[in-house]
Amino acid sequence: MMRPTHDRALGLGIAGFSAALIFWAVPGYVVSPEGGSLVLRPDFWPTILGWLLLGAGLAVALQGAVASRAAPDPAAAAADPADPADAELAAAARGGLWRLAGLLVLLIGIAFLAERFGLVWASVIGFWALVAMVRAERPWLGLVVGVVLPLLLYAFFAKFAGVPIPQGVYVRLP
Amino acid sequence: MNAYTLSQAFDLVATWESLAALAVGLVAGVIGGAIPGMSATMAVAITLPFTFALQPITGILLLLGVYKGGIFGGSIPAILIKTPGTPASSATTLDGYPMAEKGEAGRALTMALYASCIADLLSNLALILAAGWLASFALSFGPPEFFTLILFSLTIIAGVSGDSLLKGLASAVLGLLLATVGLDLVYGTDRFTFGEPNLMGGLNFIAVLVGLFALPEVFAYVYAPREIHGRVRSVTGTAASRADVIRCLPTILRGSLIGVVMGSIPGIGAAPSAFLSYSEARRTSKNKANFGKGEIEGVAASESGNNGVAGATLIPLLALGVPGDVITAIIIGAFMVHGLQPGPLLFATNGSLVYAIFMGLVLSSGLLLCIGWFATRAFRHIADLPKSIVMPAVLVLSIFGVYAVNNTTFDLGVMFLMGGVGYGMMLLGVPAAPFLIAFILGPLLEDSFRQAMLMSGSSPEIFFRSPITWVFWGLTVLSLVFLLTGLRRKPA
Repeated sequence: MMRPTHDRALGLGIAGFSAALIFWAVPGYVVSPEGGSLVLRPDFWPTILGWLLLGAGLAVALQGAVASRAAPDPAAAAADPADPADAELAAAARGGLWRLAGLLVLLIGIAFLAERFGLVWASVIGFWALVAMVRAERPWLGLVVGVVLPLLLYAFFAKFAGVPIPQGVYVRLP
Repeated sequence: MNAYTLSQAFDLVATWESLAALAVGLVAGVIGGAIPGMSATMAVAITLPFTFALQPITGILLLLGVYKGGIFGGSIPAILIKTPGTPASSATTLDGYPMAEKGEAGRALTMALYASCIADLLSNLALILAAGWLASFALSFGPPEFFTLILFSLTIIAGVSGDSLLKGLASAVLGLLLATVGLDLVYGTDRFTFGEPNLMGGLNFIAVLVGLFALPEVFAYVYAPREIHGRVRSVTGTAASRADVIRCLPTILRGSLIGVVMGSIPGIGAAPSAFLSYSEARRTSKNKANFGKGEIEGVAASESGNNGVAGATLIPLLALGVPGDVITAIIIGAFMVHGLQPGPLLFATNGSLVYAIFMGLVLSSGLLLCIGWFATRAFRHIADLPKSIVMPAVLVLSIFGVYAVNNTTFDLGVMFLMGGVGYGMMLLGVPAAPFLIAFILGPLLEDSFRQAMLMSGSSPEIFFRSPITWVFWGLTVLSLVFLLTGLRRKPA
């Protein structure tokens, strides 16, 4: 559940992002020709959006600050590291973060290896890795579906839709 | 509309490909909606890339089938395991599950099906009646009118999509900002391309939407993997009788009307409509005391309320080119990939396609009745699908689908990145719907603005040139006032 302190941080983050946009990204990465009407220039629209975002971010932060002053976060105050229930929650959260980090590595791997290994085999490995990561109740089903589904998708896109699905350099499909 | 257009439309829809696409879409939608943890939105997003290989009418009917099937499918787990398959079915649990506990699951499910099909049919008829009229009216719109219309739509979508107007607005502005990536359409210069050639055409719409609406669920499941092992009530008892249907008919008609009205307003969606229909039914019912304890009228009210939205959300999409919710925003993608732009001109340039869609939609109400009946019987098997298999399958479907659009792994990177952004937004309570809809409408909004500026020699007075622009400005201010008043009452 969102807490007012999270809103404050979110608002400040949005405001920081929009400030970087207005003062760094728009001047540096939007190419605008000199002269001409201001409102038709390519940088006009992103600049306006940047200022709007800055306003929205500051307003979210302000709202979060007001809300946290009016009602201090009871969950934060009540958290007790010595309490076994809180310790269990913290352990579960750590496990979740490790799995998310694993997923991140997996996704980067798929994006980089799809061309070399082929999209089908990269997907098979991705499927199995994900099944292992979440400790599926029926891993044998995951093993089967993990092979059959990418092959079916390959058949649909490559044979029916005519999409050149990357085959990779190791095991090529017909 | 003339007889020739209608006969062309009939030829388009009366093919086995179109009918099969509709049926397959309904089956996929019912399954997607019935699996707790998936949603109709996710099902439509994953299906979208498969439409490239199809004819425009076939692809669009496939997506519409998924949409309609998904909304009904959500009611099955709502009744049998007290877990709504989609947010739109939340109100159905209130009376559906107590009925299942009393051994009346069959009666609740068949009433949900009848109410869904009747409301869906009425919503489709409303679409047919209203869209053509609205489109012919919108033919007189110029860039200033479209600019103010889109501004109004974005304001209301940002305001009602989440718990906080400010977060919704920030989300919409971020979506507009993302839409600026690529070459500037007037000057042809780079905007935020960072020297990457893949970014010159802008971000791939499909990669963004699949990343935003399919992957966050995968991220959330990986963070906390747990299966939903609700006790599945068996489909016992008799089906809803004719007397039940007759008794609930006024409730169904009222729910359908509520759905049509709320569906035609951008941003509101099916869940609020279902709850409003439910509360109206309870307020006016003779069996008021039974609501919440297993009253069949409650099931009829909520299901007619959420399904009444389905056809009506297509009114602003087809007539004005403005998607009313996330699902219609995804459906707009099916038009765009085939080079079609929904809006008033679509009726003039592709009238046969529009009327073929109308015919397909009417047909879908009847097909839903058959497919829904079988789905209620097969639910035990659908509910048995473990999330530990479904979520990796969603990932693989997304990978193939997004790759197939432009045949580039760059789009996979965009999708994964947007998945992370979507997951972050989910955790921080920032609604993703305004982001996506603003991303889609962004180019149209900016083009309208710049065209208006070119027409007027950069004078802003053009945005107040006609009564239509005044109406949209007035509606924008009014909705902001209402939303801000609500905000003051309910801080984030």
